[in-house]
Amino acid sequence: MAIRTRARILTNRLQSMFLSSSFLHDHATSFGYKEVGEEEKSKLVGNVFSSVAPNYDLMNDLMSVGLHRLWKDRLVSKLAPFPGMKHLDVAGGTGDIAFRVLESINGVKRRALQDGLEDNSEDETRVFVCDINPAMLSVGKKHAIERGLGEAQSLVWVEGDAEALTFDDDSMDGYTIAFGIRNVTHIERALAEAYRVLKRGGRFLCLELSHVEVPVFKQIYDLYSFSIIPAIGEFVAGDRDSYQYLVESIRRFPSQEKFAQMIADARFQKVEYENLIGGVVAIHSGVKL
Amino acid sequence: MPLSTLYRPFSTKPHTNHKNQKEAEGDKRRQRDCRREYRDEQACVLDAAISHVVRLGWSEEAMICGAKDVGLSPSIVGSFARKEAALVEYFMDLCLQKLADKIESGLDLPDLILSQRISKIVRTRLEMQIPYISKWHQALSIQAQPVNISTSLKQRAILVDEIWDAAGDQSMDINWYVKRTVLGGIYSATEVYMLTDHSPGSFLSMNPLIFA
Repeated sequence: MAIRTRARILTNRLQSMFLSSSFLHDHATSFGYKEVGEEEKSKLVGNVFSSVAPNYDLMNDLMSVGLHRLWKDRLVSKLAPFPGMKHLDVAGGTGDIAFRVLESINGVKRRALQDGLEDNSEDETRVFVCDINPAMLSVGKKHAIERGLGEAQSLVWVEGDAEALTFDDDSMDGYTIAFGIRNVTHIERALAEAYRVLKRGGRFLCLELSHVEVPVFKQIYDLYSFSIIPAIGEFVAGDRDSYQYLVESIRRFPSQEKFAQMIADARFQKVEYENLIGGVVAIHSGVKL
Repeated sequence: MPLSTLYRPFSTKPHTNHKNQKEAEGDKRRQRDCRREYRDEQACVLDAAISHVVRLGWSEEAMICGAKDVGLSPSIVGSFARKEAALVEYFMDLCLQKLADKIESGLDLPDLILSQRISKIVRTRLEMQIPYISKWHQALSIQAQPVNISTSLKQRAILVDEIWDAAGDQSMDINWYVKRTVLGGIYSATEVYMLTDHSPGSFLSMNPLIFA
């Protein structure tokens, strides 16, 4: 499948004027296409994820035809993890990103040792998995045990809110959030928290279902999202509403350009994004300096 | 100094990137003083990474060490689009800049005949690679990768043009191309020869440049 790649470097912030606060507020209080109160949104999102957690992996595979694995691989390859890294994966309850980061570091470690890099940093590697939903975290912990990482020191599970992280300032080398920021009530607060916990030179990466603008493909994608995904949800997980919310929340999420601007407004530098499969998903990235 | 200023279009006009001493000093100061701007930080990381090249090669590991040296999270290495290639290209730019400075500060070129002038400049430039000679084959292989080759050819073309410029070439016709092509060949051949020149005094014998 053709993967369309587009990266935009946002150099000035003048455009931020176009980002009126009313837009942000409007987004912040949407639950799919419904307008809800802010507190209600987090409760509703919580219900959705508690409900989908048991079938989460199966549904991801079915809905994305297995492609979500490639998207996550791409995210981690863009992150370029290194031994001794302190990494925070937010909304990563199932551990998909965390396991990939650890695998990648073990690969790098082997290479580095070959090159004679004096390395006592490998023991300092920490990947923190932070998720607001205990049901999702327990799915991840189960996977960790299956992968033989149940006792791994480098993997730390934390129940926490992306808008109020419990980590110190300047404590992380990397921050990733995959398919999570869409569900956060205040995106700006989550971005500000990401900026706060990162060290100078640390990177923010976000993998998120985004907007397709390619003409014919857009119609096919819309048909697929609104007709087929809720149906799959109903048959497989017995939960149509959660998947209806999923596709609606994707449509309510800011466009690639707008979200990139929001990241730049959170003071990140070198903000760029890459569209995969015409924008079905986009990887946004930024550096804290 | 923003490295992009080095990429000037081909020209036989007198140098435009030669700055007076004061300006050059200002540029160096600016390079050292890592400001909060991405391009500058990137240059700082690459600058520091070069000192690790002898040990770790033109590699991500060298860049990670470089980032640690300048007090940045090594995570920033992930934001370089073509990682090791960025390091090699930065080094090429740095050498070109050093060469331009040296030519300006005087290599006693006017006293020599044309072929000696060229020989001297090529030698000056290639000598900058001697500290990294044990890892230079790696740099060449990185430059030869399909994704990097266009940039590396461009950098070489600029270098060769710079050498002809400094040697006082005034040609405006087909000779312009011929001269640059021939010198490009000689330069690259000498560079490759350097890699396997294990004779005492090493590369300084400069055998391929006997035309001088």
